[in-house]
Amino acid sequence: MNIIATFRDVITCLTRQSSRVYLLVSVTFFVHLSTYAAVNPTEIKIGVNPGLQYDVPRFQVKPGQKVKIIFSNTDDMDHNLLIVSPGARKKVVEAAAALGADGIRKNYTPAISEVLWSTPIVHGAQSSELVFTAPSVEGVYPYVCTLPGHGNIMYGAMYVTSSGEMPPIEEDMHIPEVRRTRSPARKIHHPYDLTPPYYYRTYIEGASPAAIIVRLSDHLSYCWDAGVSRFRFAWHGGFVDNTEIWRGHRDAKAEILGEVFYRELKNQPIRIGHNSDASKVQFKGYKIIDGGYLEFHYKIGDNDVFETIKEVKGGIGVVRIFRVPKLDKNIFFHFTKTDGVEHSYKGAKIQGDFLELSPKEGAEFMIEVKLSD
Amino acid sequence: MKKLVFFSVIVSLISASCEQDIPKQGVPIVEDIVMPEGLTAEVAALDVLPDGRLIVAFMRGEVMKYDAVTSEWEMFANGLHEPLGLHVVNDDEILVMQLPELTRVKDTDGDGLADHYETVYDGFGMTGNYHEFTYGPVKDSKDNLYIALNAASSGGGIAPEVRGEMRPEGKGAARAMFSVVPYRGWVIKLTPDGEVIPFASGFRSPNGLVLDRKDRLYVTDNQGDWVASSPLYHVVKDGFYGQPGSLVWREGWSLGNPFEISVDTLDSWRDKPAVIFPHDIIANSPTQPVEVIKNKALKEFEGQFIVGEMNRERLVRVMLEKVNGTVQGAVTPFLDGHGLRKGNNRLAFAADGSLWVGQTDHGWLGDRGVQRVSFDNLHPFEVKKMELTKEGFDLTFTKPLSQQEKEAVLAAISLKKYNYHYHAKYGSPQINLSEVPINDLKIHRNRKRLALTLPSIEKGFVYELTLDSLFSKNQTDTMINKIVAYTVKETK
Repeated sequence: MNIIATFRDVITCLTRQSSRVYLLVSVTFFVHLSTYAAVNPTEIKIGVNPGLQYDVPRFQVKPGQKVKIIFSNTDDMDHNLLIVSPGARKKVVEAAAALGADGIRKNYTPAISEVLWSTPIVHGAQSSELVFTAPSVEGVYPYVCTLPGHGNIMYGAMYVTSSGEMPPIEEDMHIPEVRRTRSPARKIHHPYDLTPPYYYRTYIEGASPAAIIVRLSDHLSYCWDAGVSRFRFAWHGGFVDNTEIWRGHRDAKAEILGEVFYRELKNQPIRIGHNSDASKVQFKGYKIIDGGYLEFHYKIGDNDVFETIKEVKGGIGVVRIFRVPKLDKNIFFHFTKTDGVEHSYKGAKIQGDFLELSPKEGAEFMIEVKLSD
Repeated sequence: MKKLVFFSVIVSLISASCEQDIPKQGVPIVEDIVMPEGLTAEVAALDVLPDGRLIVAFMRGEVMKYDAVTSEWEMFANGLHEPLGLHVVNDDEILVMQLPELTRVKDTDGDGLADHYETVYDGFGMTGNYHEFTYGPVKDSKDNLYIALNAASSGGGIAPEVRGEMRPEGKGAARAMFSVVPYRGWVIKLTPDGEVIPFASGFRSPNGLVLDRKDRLYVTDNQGDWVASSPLYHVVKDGFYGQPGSLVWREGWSLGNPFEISVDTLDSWRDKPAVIFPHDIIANSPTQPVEVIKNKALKEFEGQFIVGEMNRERLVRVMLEKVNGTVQGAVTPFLDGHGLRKGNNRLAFAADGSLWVGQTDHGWLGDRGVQRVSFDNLHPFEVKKMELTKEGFDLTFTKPLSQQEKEAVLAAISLKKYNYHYHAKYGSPQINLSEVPINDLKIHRNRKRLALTLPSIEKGFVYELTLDSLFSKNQTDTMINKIVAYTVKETK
């Protein structure tokens, strides 16, 4: 037998009858080489912001790319994530709403062709993954939460694009309007004049949740704690930034925009009489007095105490003005010795860390808390 | 013969004029109120002043008065901490429920701005958790006040410094609302003498309180953990309404972590809703109920409640009755669309019968601002009452039906029943869902009343009625609000 001839015959046979297969095999081999990079999926992590928003408003993938979306529901209510055909977000949202009472059982996912990939309902603190191959057809594929009412504001855009280009975020009509703007310029926060003194009841670090913060001037503020009826701390510089507080739907505190120069660390700084037992302290409220200052009213045991805090004249500090109308015992004013801070009474620095006053003196007195020169 | 003709002419003239006496159904008119410059109009509370103005509290602490005649807004107070409830005392004084306390806010020097902020009640705990909202006060005929305290959410935490005693056993291991400081998840009663009475527990997010004319207290709650579908509770002293965390503040509580008690036991303790708002059908987040009182345009609904809904452009109507001493009843949509926004958080009727609606979102689904709804031309064609009978239900309509034949009415009515799980999970799908055949139907001679006979009535089920293609007499009106859902808490 002529081996070469046989071999040639085999090749001829192969190339003629199976040439298409051969071509397919070699083409496939080369295509596989060129998409090697697509084998390892691109991971996109998407969470939830307060105000019914995904934290990622848009992202881009290449056509045919393997994608893994890790959707973590960091919110306190249920959400899902559906990826839908270009232009189909409204239709899918409406179809999900039309599921009515069946919605919860069907994960609010309508059985229509426009829904490409979907997670089930994801409870708070849970996550769900979507692994898929990005479509070969380029376009903007919306992703959306279809819980009733969410889909009109809670959505984003998956750009399937080989160029990797997306429009400038300010002009991207495929993402919610609230995501299109850059950080807003300082705007008006209230319909009233913010001329100090003014105040908020708020959550702030360094006090109980029942805090009252007062801006005394453009460089001086203090915190009063209505939970424990006492002055807690004072700061100089700016007042607070309430952006996180006002966002809602998440734990937040007012952010101090200055430097705290004094903190009262004593639990019972004001005592009436020699009885060292803690007298019951009760917060009674406040009045807005001349100049817009707050006069706090609290009770220590049976004694009514009125305290007004103002800015000192000359220097950086506060003056604390006390009235104890029916005082019949000595009153003790304690404070926390602090480097660089002076407490003074009637113009003289208080030595030690407390002041004892007779009933006559204690009926009305003032203490200055100032940064030493 | 002439007499007969004469007689028929008279009769038809009379009946023609009678028919003309039933005005055609109209639509509500929704007016957008222009809000002041610089205000973030997240409405936290609103009420009507004796002088006729509206007073509104906003989430960022402002309280403002609005004069509808001049369209002018005026500051009254500011600096308050998420004031989600207010009660008018007089033109210069209000009670405000804010996160840290119930406060009396007064203008004592007559300059229009409040200058006295008196702490009325602050004896409850605070963890600094974002979800610890506070609601009320509502006042009964004996001047008792009721407030409600939201539990804390496991979507947030506990601050290093809290107000009040800490009981960590008020928090479960799983993600759910918790109550680790005093009286979170409770309704508190404050007597005019200053006595504080922890009144009822088991609430999650009780964003709506109302007292009816018999001093019965009703509170709405929100679907979530332990709450299958948003309810309206009839709240009685020492009642437990389902969310376990708050149980740790019961006097003498010694059973440890309530989340570890068996669900069957908790279920046996709980007082069930007076009426359920079926989720995804009627409302997903009901808010404040207000009673329809001496309202000319809405006289058909005297004594019923209108309730706000956050998630839809909708207000809901609640019709209650007493069955064997138990308050229960039905819900149906009252107003859908017509320019109403979402986020309908607070409601108050004005003296002229129109309804003020305040909206908020605050990071949830909703909207912002104030709208006023007028019902002057409504002449509604609705189910006025749905009442339980031994045989089934009686429906009373505001106008006579046009359909006279039993078959025609039967063809327009379908009924199904279902209920929900009581469990730790967030919400529940409908379970035990089935169509309910209507064995018989009697049409009252005046065609305003139907008596439905069903094969059985089961306690603990929601019966959802759908009315389609029902017309009022002479086919002037069609039924717009087609779904009425009755919660059978008790049977006859």
